[in-house]
Amino acid sequence: MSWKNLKIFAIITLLVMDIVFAFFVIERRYSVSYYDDTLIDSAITVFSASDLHVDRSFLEAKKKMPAVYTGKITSTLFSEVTEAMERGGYQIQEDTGGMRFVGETDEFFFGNDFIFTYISAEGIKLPSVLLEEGLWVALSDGEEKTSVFQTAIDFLKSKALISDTFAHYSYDISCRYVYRLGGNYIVHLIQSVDGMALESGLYLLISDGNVTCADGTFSILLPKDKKSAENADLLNILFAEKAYIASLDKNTSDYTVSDISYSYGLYFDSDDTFYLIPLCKITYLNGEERVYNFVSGKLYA
Amino acid sequence: MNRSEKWREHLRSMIVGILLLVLICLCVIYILSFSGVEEFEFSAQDMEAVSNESIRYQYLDYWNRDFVSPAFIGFSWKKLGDNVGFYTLGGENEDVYQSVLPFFEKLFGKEGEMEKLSRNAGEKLFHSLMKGSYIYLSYACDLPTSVICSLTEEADFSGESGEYISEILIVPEEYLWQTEIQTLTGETEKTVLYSFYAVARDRAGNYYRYSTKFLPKTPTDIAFHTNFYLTYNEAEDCLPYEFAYVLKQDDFLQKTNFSEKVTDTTIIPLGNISHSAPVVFAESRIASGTDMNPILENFYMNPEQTTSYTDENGVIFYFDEGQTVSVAPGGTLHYSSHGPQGISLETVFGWHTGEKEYAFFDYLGAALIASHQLKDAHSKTNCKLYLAGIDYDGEALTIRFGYAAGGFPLYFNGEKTIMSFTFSGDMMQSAEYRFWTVHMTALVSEAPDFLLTLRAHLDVADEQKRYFYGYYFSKERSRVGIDVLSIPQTEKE
Repeated sequence: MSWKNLKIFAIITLLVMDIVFAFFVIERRYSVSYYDDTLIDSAITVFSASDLHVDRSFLEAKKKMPAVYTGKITSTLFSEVTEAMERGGYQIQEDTGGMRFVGETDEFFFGNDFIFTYISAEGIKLPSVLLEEGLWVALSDGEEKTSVFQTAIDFLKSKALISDTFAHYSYDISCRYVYRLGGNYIVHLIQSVDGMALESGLYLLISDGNVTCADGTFSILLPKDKKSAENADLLNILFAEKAYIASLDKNTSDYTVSDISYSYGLYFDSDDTFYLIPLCKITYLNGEERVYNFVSGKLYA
Repeated sequence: MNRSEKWREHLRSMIVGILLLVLICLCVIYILSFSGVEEFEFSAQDMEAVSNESIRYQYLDYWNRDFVSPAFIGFSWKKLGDNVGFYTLGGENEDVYQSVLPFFEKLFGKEGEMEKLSRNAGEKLFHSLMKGSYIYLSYACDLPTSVICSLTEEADFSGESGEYISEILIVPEEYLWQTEIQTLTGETEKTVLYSFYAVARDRAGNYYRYSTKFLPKTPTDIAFHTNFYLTYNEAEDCLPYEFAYVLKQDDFLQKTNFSEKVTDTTIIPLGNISHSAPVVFAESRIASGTDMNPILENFYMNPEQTTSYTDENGVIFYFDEGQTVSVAPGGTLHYSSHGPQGISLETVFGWHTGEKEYAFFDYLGAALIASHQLKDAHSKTNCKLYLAGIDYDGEALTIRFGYAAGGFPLYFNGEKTIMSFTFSGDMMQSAEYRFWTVHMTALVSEAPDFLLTLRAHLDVADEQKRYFYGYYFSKERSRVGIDVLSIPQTEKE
């Protein structure tokens, strides 16, 4: 065989091998991103035997592989907020667990663990406490909801609490619910990073068009680093749920998974680094919710 | 071969090369996908570490010198003059404590070694060292060395470790060299550097000898030298003192069996130097209008859901879902839960802890948070909370706190504990709080002459006691300066 033909033969052979291996790699990638049909069938059968009912669609969906985001709590990052507060006439007080900004008629508290409180009058009940009374009615989408949400956003902007100066990743703030009781509203705001919401949110009470108090978790600082993370396996989490259900009294209600959702939970390091760690929430038709840390696979709440 | 043929030949070679390279890459990717070599920047192990840190993050702000500082620190250099000491309870004279912390790193840290001594040998060694050059530290209660070390750079919050000790003597061991070093006040002095070791004991009479593999190599390394003494003997607040064991006894003291009636490490202030301290006001009462709501909320009880009941002795009980708070007319509050219920550590931390097993320090942290919340809810006192006791009976861990003012402990009707919290499993199952409204006033009073007061006590004393400066409050004594107090040696404080 001539040297020229040998090269043509090599090209054909290598091309075929490349295609075959590319197929294997893609197939492998697919198998990493999706559960095998047979595995899904077996798992669903095992779960059903323990009264845990999981719809196929949850397992057929592409596996979630969320990253971990981190940032550092530094005085420089806080400076934008503190400067704005000082301009607004607030006095800064270092307090255990965070910083307090005391104005003439109102007061903010920013916890080192992102706990946020705003009070404009003595003895006022915080919105998260008011909601527990069960009297508030959630509004459906519409002009009223949009308008109340905008009032909340305007308030946060006026205090320089929403800023994308340090946002390295897609950052968004959205309205989960607006509740109404008479002429008063409570807005539940949720922050999200790269499309995934932070687990807890901020509640603001709006009376006569003004924010009168607020409480909840609110991250003034945004993450600066994104890290690829080892993720827990959803099937393992569901097997942990199977064990949990098996440990319950058999007379308890039927456990049918109504939703599996993902969010970010806040964690902290003693060197003032904060972490957004992916969480996986299993919601049952009976209303029970169980949340897992999606890195360690351990129960979170 | 013409030019275009040559190009074709080159192109074929290039294609072969590229295809070969692609094949190698695909093979490597395929193999790695099975071997699990994929590197994550954040692994499950990192998560475990961050999870533990997140709990700690909730209480680190409260973990300070007020809480774990000693009650007294003394410095002695026999050839240079009287011993000098400082009352440091509640974080008073914190720079003095700060300067001796590096010794703990070397003695109780990774480089340290412990040897348990027999009671006789330990006591003999301890007494002989009390007569020489030393740095002496006395804590308000027995503490594990890991807690004593918790303010050093080598602090390890992973768990309870080390022996429970309350008194430490750090002493020179071997002469190393003579050099000029900067004193803690910034002056340059000639000094002799020694390696060091320590002898410590607990209140039950167990003795331990701590040595270190660390040897000072430069003048800036931690070493035993004269400059600790030379720095502090000129300080304004320093107190010339002698241990009762070493004190030269006059005829009167000898006649009263001084050595048998006074503990060996009782600090006897020397000379006519008077010591002053703030006057403290303390009152035990619950005013009829006392708003109990913030206090009930501290125990995570909903005041609007609680039911209350007053018994024939005037004790008011508040009930809410298996939890009870009772307030006696004398001003003592008890919180208790029934059965396995209680306040979870997760609730105290306000943090999702999942199925985490708590470490010893987490319980201390939870008690710290609870103590500060209770203090803030009832009396926003300017006195400092300090760790007054840790008791573990194999099942339940009780952590007790007292108040300190100006470096001295406050005693309420003979008790130093103002609040205590008992944990079992991952729950706080009971708590106790004495309703004392306490605050340091702007007034300052002179301390009574210690030895003179002691002489009066000795006349009537019938057992060995530890004598010390402190504040004593009772129904009749609400505004007081420091006084000489005593605790029987056998009594567990």
